[in-house]
Amino acid sequence: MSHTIFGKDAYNMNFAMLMILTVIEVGAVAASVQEIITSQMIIFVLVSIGIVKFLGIAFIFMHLRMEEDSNILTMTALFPVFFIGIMIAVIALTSPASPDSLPAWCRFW
Amino acid sequence: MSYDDDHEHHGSPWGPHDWSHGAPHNSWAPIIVSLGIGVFLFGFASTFAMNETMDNTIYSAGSLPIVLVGFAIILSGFLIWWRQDISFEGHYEPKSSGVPFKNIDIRKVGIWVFLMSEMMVFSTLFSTYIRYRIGTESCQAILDNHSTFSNGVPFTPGDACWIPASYFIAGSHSESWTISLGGFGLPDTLVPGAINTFALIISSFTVVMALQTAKREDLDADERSRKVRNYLAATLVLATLFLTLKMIEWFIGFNIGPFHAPSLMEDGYTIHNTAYPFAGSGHGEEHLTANLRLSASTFYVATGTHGAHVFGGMVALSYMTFKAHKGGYSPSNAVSIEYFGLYWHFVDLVWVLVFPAFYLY
Amino acid sequence: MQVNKKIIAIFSVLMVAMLLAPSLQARPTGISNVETGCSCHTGSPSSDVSAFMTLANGSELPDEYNAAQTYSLLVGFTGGPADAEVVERINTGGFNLVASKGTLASSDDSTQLMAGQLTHTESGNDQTSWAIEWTSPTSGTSSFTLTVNSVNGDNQATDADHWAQSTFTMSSMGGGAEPLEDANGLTVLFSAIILVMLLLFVAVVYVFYRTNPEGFSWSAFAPWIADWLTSTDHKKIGTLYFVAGLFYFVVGGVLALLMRTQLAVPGNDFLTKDEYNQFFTLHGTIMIFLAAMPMINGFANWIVPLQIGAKDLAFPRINAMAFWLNPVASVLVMSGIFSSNAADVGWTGYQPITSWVGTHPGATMWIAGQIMLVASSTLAGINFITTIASMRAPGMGWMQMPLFTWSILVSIMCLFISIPAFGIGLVEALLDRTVATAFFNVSAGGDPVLWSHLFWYFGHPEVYVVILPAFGIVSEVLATSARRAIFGYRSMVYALAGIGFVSFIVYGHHMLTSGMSPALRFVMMLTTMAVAVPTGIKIFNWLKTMHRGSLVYRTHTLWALGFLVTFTLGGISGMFFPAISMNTHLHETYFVVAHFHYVLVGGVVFGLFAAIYYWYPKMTGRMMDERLGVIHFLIAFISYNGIFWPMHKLGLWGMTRRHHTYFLQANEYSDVIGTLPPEAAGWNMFITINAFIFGLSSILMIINMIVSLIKGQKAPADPWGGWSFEWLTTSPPPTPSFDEIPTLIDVNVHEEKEPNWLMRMMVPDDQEEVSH
Repeated sequence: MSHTIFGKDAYNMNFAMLMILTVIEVGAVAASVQEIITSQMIIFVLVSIGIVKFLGIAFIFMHLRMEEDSNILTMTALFPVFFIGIMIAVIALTSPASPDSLPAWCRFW
Repeated sequence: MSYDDDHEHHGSPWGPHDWSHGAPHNSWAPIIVSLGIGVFLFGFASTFAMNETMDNTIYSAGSLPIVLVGFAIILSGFLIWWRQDISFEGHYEPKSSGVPFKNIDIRKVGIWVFLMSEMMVFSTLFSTYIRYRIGTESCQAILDNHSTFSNGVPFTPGDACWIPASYFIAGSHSESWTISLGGFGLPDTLVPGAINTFALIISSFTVVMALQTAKREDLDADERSRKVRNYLAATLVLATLFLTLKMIEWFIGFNIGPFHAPSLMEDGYTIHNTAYPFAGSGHGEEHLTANLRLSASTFYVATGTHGAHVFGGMVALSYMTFKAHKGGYSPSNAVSIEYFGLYWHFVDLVWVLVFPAFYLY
Repeated sequence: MQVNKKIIAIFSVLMVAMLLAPSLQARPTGISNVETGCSCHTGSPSSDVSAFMTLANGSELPDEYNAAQTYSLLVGFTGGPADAEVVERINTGGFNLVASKGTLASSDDSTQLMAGQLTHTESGNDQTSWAIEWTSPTSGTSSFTLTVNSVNGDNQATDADHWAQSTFTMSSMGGGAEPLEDANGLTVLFSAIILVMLLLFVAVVYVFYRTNPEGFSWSAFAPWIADWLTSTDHKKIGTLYFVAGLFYFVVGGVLALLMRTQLAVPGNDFLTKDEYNQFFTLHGTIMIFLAAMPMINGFANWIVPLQIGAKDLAFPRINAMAFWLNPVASVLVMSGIFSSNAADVGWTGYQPITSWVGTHPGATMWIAGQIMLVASSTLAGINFITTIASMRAPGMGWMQMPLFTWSILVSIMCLFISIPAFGIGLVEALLDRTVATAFFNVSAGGDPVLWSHLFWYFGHPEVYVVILPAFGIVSEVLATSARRAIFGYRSMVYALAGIGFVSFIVYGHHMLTSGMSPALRFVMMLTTMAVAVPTGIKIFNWLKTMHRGSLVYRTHTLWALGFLVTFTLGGISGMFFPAISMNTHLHETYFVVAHFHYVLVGGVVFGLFAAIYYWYPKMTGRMMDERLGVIHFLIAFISYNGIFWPMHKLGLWGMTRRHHTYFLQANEYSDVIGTLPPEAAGWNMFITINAFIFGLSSILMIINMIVSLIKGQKAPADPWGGWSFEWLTTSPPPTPSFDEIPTLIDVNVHEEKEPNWLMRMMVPDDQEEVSH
């Protein structure tokens, strides 16, 4: 059970990492509100920190790494990704106004 | 796998249940819980009937007790379920017998399968959000474009445009950061959300600590169950804090000393607001009269669904805290905490995505 | 004697309930607060005062009125103390008139309108008759309640003053019959529920009596019924699912017959368009969610654990929960139908109609009920996926699983992954309808196409969710009946899985006319056509299975063969729709109705009928009557094609779906848009007649099931010569289903070691040799 990262308990290390990253997130937002960093930068910071936190929780807290059943359970967790991908591509990223963007020769009106 | 092969044995459908015989026998819980859900939904649907009229007066308060009765029935069903479960101490823990999950607890497979469906739930909410976020022009862009949509149509008051919740929570909305938090430059309205983020991460941590403690053979039973109970109770408190802060952020607002933040309701970020005076930034007195019902609906339903999951976790946690108090979690069934933990970490994971997407961006 | 008293008590309760149920109807909306005469006089009703009501010219009040016409009437009285004061009438008379229908009006200053009732004014006090006006309603019978006061004029409220009350009625011209009054929906709903519950109770008592006619005792009834309500045994829950599904098949079928009656002749008014809208909405919802899926779940519950050699499902209590959500949800879905306020939006619930304020309030309940069904499907999904993935008997790898189990796995996977999208869509729609969020509200910037996306993201996999188990059933039945292993087992499995995956990327063909992204339309066209490939593989494998097998024509075999014919026809008509231009042309016509009924009735229902005849001996331990079964098949197969084949033609002629009636062209040269050629009337009548034959033929099956249950021949463990695990255990199986978890040993290995074992499995009971 007691897995370690750099000789420390994995749960504690992961917890510390999550807390620090969240502080950085909030700080970055504060900086963007005061217009110290640009809005493009804040999106980049939030997305990259979000991914790291996501992986930290999934791998350490949800035991998707470092246990004997981790691999198959990771595969299970990844099973819906294909369907989520379809959903994002087809529902989220198609615009309601897309017929308006058709070229003129392809429209009735 | 220790199924009871004695065909004559029947456990009581009201509980408590003798788990030494194996899989659960008859139970009143399923039919009662189902009935409760039906009554709850019936009450909810007959209480509110605003449709698109947004007429707040069209609701029949007389049906409101039905909602509460529904809740009570659901709860009584759960009490029966828990009464049957409380004697479970891990002696009956069937293992998977075939590839690909060979020798993994069947319950663990089940919870992961359940999480697949939860992933689809939140993917759907995010799809709705992304579709509307992309498909609706932002009010700021329209204002910057001299009150004109990008296709050249002039903006008329009451037209829909997108105001993200972050405009009120973390953005340039003038009300929200008249006094900044400790000179840090953080809008006070962001404080509940920020604390919530930490609360959920800490609660994730306390759950794994409860699991780790319950698995420790070196502690004596009393000390172990006390520690497990404390960790679970801490999780419960943090979850309660989460929902309380959410209510403050949505409906109440706060005004403590130098810190002042109006609630989203006071700011006018409601699902019925068809005429919000949007001033944006950098345009002085110029403003749009915007219909922000769509952006508010998306925000409240997406974060509200997450809140409902937190609430569901709290219901389970209150039972688990009680069971831990009774000494129910020993190394032999510590995995029960892990299976709840998987759900709880998932809720935390979703917050990791919801927080930047809805609160910060 | 104890028993008889209780039976009498129950039947008395039933009789009272039957009598009460109609009277639980709501009170008429008329007001009747004028019982004591004029408030300023006490007195008593007296026979010497008589009220009259005539036309203004003094002639008698007619029995019938013309609709929406204003009548001048004269009301008044004769007799009483007022008549005695002949000299100077002061403060001597008064009246109050209530009309149950139509509008009363005052014609001069002697009368006035107070809260809808007409009464005298102070100046009218001195008269004994008053001229009034009444505007008649459009229909119905109006009753007038006239209360008159005959007063002696002494300004004292004493017994010397008399009053009287009379009732006059007028009916609408030509319509003597009283039209049904509007009922309070909730009252009607609850009376219907009470009635259904009581009938259900009697049915359950009868079933209990039949289980053990000799040892029938009431003290054993409570534990017996409690056992059914609380059971977590997969076989009992399977039976519950099955019975609930069969019940709703009948309900949905009756709705369909009512709709067909309406459509039998052009311009019919058997149903109003409002009723028609509700009926086709509930027909669709009930048939898919409350009939087909519970039936499939019933068979899955019964057969899957037996086929994979598990003692029960992985989570028995969650399984019970998944079932019990169904009947409760069905009440919510159906609520409103009894007071004509049910959902009237089509089973697809397209937005923004569903969120529109004018939609019936029953639509809110309908959405709420479907949310419960989503929860039920999710719970069932967790259970089946976990069970099949992790509780297979030793030796049963993925590629040794029977095809029915495979089909259930793939279909439940499709359902499980896709249904959260529908669930969230429903939550959004429910909130739109209740607390007025704006997800699908166009004026607030909402996008109705989002609903179509969410619905069909679920809805198209859902179509495969109901058809794939039928594929599995047919594979089992054909292999057993042909007395050989299924041809191309692996390709069958890959085809199933392929259909499952592809189902997620084809759903756009339901939305080709909805204005979704044009690029997406093109993609969906191609992927939809690709579905034909795995389906074709399956069809050819079935044909090939029969080709080198030796077919035994049992009833279930006939249904499976019927399935092959009708499903292939349905599949071919389905190939018209992926083509965008053809789709645009055929959309919303009867061609679509013909297509999906060919696959849903000819596919799913035929498959389920095959399963009933195939597994009934295993489930009950009794054989069904083969002769009745064959008659059922012949009648149903012929009448089924009689219903749905002509619909193709009607669709091409332009008959629209979801319309409560249709009209014919005056002659072949007239070209009014929307009218149909004269032959359409004949074909519609033909379809309706066939629909009734098809509906009635199902009664044969139900009679067969009930009679066989009581006096059918005892079934052996393996009546058909099948060789999957469910035939190893007794009929019906014990609880838990296997005393000893069986071990599967590969057939090919076994053939060399123990040839007798294989032969025993392969040769059916009647000792016919397997001929190749």
